[in-house]
Amino acid sequence: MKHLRTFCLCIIVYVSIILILLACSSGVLDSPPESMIQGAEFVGIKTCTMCHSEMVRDFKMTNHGHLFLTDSEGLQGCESCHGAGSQHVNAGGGRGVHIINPERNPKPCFRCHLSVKAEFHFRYHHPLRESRIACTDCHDPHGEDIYRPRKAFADGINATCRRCHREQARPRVFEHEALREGCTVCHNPHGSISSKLLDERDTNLCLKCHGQIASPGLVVLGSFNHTNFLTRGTCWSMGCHTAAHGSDVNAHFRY
Amino acid sequence: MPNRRKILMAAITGMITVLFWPFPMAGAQDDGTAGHMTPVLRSSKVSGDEEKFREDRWHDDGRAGGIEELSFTKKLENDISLSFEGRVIVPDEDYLFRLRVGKRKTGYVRAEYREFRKYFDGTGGFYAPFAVAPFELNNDLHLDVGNVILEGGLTKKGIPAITLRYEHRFKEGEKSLLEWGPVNQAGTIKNIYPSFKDIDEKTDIFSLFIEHDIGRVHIEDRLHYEQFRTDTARHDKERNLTTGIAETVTVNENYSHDAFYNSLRMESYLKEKLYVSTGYLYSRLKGEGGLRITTIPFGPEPFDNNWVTRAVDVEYRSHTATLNGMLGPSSNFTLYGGLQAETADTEGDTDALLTATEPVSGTVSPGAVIKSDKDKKALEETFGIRYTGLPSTTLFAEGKWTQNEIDLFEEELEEGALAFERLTGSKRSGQRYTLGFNNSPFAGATLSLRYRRSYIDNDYDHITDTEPGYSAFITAQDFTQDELNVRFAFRPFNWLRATFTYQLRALETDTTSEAATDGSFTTGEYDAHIYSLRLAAKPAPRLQLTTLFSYRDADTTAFDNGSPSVATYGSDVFSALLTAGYGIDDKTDVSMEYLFSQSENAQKNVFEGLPLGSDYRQHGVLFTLSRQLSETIRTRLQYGYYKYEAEEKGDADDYNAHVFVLGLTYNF
Repeated sequence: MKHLRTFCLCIIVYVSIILILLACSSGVLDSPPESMIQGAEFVGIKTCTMCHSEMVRDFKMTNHGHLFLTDSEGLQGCESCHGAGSQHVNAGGGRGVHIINPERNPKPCFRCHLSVKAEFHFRYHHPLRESRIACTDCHDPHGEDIYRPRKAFADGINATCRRCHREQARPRVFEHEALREGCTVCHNPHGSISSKLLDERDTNLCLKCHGQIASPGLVVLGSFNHTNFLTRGTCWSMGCHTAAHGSDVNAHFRY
Repeated sequence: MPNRRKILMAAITGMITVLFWPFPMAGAQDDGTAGHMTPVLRSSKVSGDEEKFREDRWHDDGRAGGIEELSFTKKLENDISLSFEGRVIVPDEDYLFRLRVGKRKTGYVRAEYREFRKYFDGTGGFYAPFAVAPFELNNDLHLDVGNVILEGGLTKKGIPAITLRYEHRFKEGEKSLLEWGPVNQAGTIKNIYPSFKDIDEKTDIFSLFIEHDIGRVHIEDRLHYEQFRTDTARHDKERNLTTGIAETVTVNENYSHDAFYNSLRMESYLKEKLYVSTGYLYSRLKGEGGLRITTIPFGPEPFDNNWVTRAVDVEYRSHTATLNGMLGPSSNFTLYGGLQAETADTEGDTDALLTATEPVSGTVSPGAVIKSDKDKKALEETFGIRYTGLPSTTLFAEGKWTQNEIDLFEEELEEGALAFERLTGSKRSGQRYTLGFNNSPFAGATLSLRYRRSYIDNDYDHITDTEPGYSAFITAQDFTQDELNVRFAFRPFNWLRATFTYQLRALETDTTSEAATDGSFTTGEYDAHIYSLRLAAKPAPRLQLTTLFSYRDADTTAFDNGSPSVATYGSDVFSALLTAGYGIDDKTDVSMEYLFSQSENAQKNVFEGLPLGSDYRQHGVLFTLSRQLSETIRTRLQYGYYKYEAEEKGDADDYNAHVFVLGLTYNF
């Protein structure tokens, strides 16, 4: 609650500053503040369809299609992410010609995905704001055909992570079954307050799945009493279950 | 080796640049030449933990410089165009060379080299009663990550479009680990000694992509072959502060594989409002590896087990087939559905020698032969509808169902005798339902809502388990997740746009174990409420303000059976990002960015466990002054101040940093 109060207080202070600045200013802009391309005007999705018909057509089956494929005011549609398209149209189109490419610039994504932007500013994060990666390295903003046969070598969601993290996603002699649920069972890929982008930096990470009822006060997993080990630190500490992504020699992921 | 790659790429791009770039030029040329170049100098002064500063800022401290951005495009004769992008910052090892030469409606070739450095802080855990500062490795941990791409494509109309690509990926260096080692002080043991890992990883990927339209059918085929090899060494250490004795464990691991897949896909609009697509994927992976554990000194500790493998082999094969369709009975109503079937088989074999110390028999070295086999059959169905008939409104709903059957066999023979065997048949079924709407109630306003509920039910039948109850003690596990996303964006004034989002995420994990007498019980609960507000304002012609406040109220509670050593893991975070830009005159701009992030989730289990909660504050302020010096030259001066405080590490990670940047952009 303390943070929520701080949050509300910051908003009130900020809005007040804006109102004061407005009172001191001599005028306001004529155009909407976020056409994103200076001097360009919105042309509407029907104009985009003239050249990009396949993309607009397939877009219907994607999550973004649910939200944006409405041709009202020009603000809904392709131009929500790519910026106002009049200059692009006038120039005869072309890759990157007077058009925003979210592949190079995450700003259009962050206009809607606010909490994701905040996560990329947590102390541990994938290097998006450092321009080492782009949103499109992991996500396809136009979506895909519902099922595309291209998730090779890995189960489900791990295929995206595997592109860069092959060592962690490779097959092992002893599989950790948590990987069947996907990497995001343990990691938050955008950003985390915990090192290695872990959802939880302590034993909660393991115990949220590996639980067993025993005598009160004891943490018994299978036939093994772990109570004393838990007082020392995490389950994946040296000498314990360090091979969290699976092991080639030990069924208990000790190495 | 990395230097050779850099030199090669720099030489290629440099030669092409000299050949095609008539220097000097000023302003965009009539021949279609345009570009810019930004040399920079940066100086960072850090007081406190320099390693933590490097990890946070993703760059080195001290002095650095180079070309932050070099970009140019040039149109040549016969519809040929050339584009180049580059970036070189030393000593950050931050490089980018990207070159593309293409002929309109004919084809293109492109080359790319990308490398960056990821830094790691080598500080271990902090346990206040030990009255010693956290242990630090201080060995400048960093990992160089990058790739080289060579690609050519044929885009001529009327013939199949072909793309041929080679990619080399690499990771070289050291990274920190969280498998901290035990530190013993007067019999109290806490796992807080930092560990790290050497990594040398390389991947070579060859791919071929062909696509073509035959009549109304679009056909595409993607062929992918990769060679992956990695050598790693994990370095763990155990210390006794009372006796001064230390033990180190080094785990050397190598692994390589050859992997191949081919996917064939066809799609067609059979009628104007009937779309169908189908595809088939075959993939195969064959890998081999090795592992060696070295413990020095090798003693009678229960986990002093030195392994040496003589062979490790893994193999994976899968077949996947898909069928999708979309039907639009009216222009406002769309139905779509899909089906995916998959079979996958994974086999693993290890031949190893284990040296262990036993309390009675002393040192023993049994040979172990390990086998595993996993067969998976999976089916997945999706069905969705979308309606846009209401004014400025989209309604949507989607259901997704999965059914998996997985048979797992694991066996270990020690000197020919059965040491461990497990045969588990599991069934996994999932359901995911999504519904929501997107509505624009009035001009400049959008309200969208999406609710999703998903269930995953796992049932395990442990047909054989020679170690009863360990490790296969879970007989059923269910995950139930609720997600709610609400977004409201509106423009109350022409100069102000506000966006508010709320997200709820609740995940419950229910488990049934062999030992549980009262059936299923909740082992994990995660609840997160995330509130975010973005304000983008342009209250005056030369003034622009953007603000994002985000507050996440989240925690995870796992089943601890009343053990005081396990504390709830809180992950509340408050973040504020403010940017302000003001144009002093037509040539001069000033801007300010302020970033703040705070998490106060310290755990209070210091006497019963090891507190590992997060408790930190992070501030960052960046002032920028930029001025147009001439028609083609713009200069920029930046000053950044960064402050980090982390009580969770006993302030060992704290730092204050001042960063100065001078940049010059030359447009040509």
